[in-house]
Amino acid sequence: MHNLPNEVLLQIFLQLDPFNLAKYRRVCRAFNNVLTAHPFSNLIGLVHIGQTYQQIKVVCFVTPASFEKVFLTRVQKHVDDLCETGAFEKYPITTLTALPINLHSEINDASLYENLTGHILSGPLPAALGNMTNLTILKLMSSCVTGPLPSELGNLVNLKILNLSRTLLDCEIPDSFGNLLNLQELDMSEARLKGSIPASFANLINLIKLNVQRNDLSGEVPDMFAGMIKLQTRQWFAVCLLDLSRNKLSGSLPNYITLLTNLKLLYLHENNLTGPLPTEIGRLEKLDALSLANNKFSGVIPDSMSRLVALTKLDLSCNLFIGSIPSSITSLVNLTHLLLDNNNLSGPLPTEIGLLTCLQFLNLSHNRFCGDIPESIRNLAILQTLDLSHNHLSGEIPPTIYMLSHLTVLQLNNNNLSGPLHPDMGVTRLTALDLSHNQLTGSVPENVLPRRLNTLKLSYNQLSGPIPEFGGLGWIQALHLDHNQFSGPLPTDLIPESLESFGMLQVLDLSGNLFEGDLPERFRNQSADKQAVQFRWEKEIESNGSGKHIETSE
Amino acid sequence: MVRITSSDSQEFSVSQDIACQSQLIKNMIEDVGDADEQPIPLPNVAGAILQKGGSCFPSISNAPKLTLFAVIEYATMHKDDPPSAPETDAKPSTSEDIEDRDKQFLNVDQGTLFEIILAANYLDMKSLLDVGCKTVANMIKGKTVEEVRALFNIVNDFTPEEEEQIRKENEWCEDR
Repeated sequence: MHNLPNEVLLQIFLQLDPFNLAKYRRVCRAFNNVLTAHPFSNLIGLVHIGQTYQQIKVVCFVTPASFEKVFLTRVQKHVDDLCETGAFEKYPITTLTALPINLHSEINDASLYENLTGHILSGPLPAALGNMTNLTILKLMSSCVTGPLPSELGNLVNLKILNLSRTLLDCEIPDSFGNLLNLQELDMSEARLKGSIPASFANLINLIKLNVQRNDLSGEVPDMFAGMIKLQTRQWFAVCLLDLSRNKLSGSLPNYITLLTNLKLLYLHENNLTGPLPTEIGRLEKLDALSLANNKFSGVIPDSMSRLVALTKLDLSCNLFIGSIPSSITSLVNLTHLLLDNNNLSGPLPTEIGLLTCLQFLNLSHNRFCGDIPESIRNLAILQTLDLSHNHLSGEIPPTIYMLSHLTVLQLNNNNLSGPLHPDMGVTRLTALDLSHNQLTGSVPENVLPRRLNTLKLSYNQLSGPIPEFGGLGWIQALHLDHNQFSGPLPTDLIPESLESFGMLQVLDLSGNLFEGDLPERFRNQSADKQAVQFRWEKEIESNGSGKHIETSE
Repeated sequence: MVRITSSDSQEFSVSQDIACQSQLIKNMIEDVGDADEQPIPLPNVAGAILQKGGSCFPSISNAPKLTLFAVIEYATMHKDDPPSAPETDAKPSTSEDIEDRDKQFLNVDQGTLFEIILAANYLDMKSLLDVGCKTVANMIKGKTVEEVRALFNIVNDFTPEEEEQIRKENEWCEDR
């Protein structure tokens, strides 16, 4: 039988129940070849199950156009039979939500309806879906729907909501999507889309939310709201969400974007966008979150940014911005997240930053900021993370920084900070403290270390004197005290009785100091009986048998 | 009358209305014009030895099959059928509705059945191809993959990896 020509096999398969056919792909290669070619190539996408918003379940048979009329009639009969038995009712479908279909129950004629719950939609969308022109809502998210997207979907002119997110489309967006004039929400995020955003999107004058994040879209950000802007009689500028992040879009940010004055969320991060920001960006006065991180934007941060008073999250990190932080930024009093790290920003930190009292996360690291850390930082009463590392900041660490009772992460490493450690350090809730690579001097006061610390890095400073008892550091995982001028005996509570009693400690680095005496007997090897004891210890990953590793060297 | 020769040079004379149930022969006759002179060669259809319905040919097991003969027999049986209705108002046909006489006619061993289907396909005889395919479809219906392999002596020519891949893709419709 498997020697029959494909055309005959096809004739035979066409006689079989379409819902039970795909399983025979596994019989042999000849079967598989026929069942995966035209007209069966769309077979897997055969059954689309709908549920209306009123929770009325609808079995909707959308078959590929490649199935001939005879086949469609047969499917229709199948539906009619089920209707007669009362298995379900037929409704004019205006909303269609994909239901997950049970992976392990066989679809059979008798109990088609009951058993469909739980299957996953997969395969390409049939072009015939474009015939369901009454659809206003089409949601096929989180399914195994594959591409290409039939251009017939552009016939669904009544669609208000189209959600194809988290699918396996792996194709381009058809130009015809520009026909979906009533579309208000278009979500095609995480759908492996390729190519560029069609210019026809300029026709989508009713769009309120556009989300195509996490795809492989390339090309420039199209002038896609030009049409909308021209139509001044409508609720123009209606767009409130524009998420084009995590694609490969290039070019600069078109000026028109500043006309979308209803924008609340603008996410363009992780693209290849270049050039300066439009100076008029301050027009987007309703912006709640603006993320332009991980692009190649350059130039200065426009002063008009200060008009974005509704902004709670501003992320400009990992770009090529230059200049200083405009002091007018302080009018953004609602900011909870201010991330300007990894740019080429310079100049002193504005004192006015202390006015941003809603800040929870402040990251200005990896820039060229200089001068003192402003005292006013103490006003950021709910700050949780403060990262000013890798700058040229100098002067002493303002002790008021330790009055920030919500601060859990403080990174001031790789600056030119000087002065002693402040005794108030011990009262904070810090879990991570990195002051390494500065010019801190003096000794480590008793009880100076916060109780909840799990990471402490003081390496590469000029700290001196003996190290106090660390008795209470039960949570510590990484302790870097290396490359200072610590002297005196090795702190006995850091050199435990046995390696197993190290507790949570993963890394202990005491090297590059002036400790005296010997390592305890148990750690000694022939090279360790020196005046200055170096000591670095790292817990290895568990795959290593012993799991511990000691290095003592000069 | 139309004269037809099989691949093994057996010659059959059949009336034109019977022969023309084959779209292939019909086209040939139309192309050639007067078909009386030359026999129509059908190099893809074996001649016949196995007779159907227990008539004049002695049944010889393992003998090559007289497919053309069987096909002619089918065409004779259906020569008075009305021309098939246009598809628009065709009742959805299912693999169940096979006429009894066709069932009888196709009640043969698998090899013969496939020969007949092949011949019908070659000769472009839609109704015979249809009924043949329905018969095979009925044999497949309701069977598991393994049962289908056993029934038709099909060797699983997938590598285990390939089969597993298909099994995965087919998770939604496979038997548990």
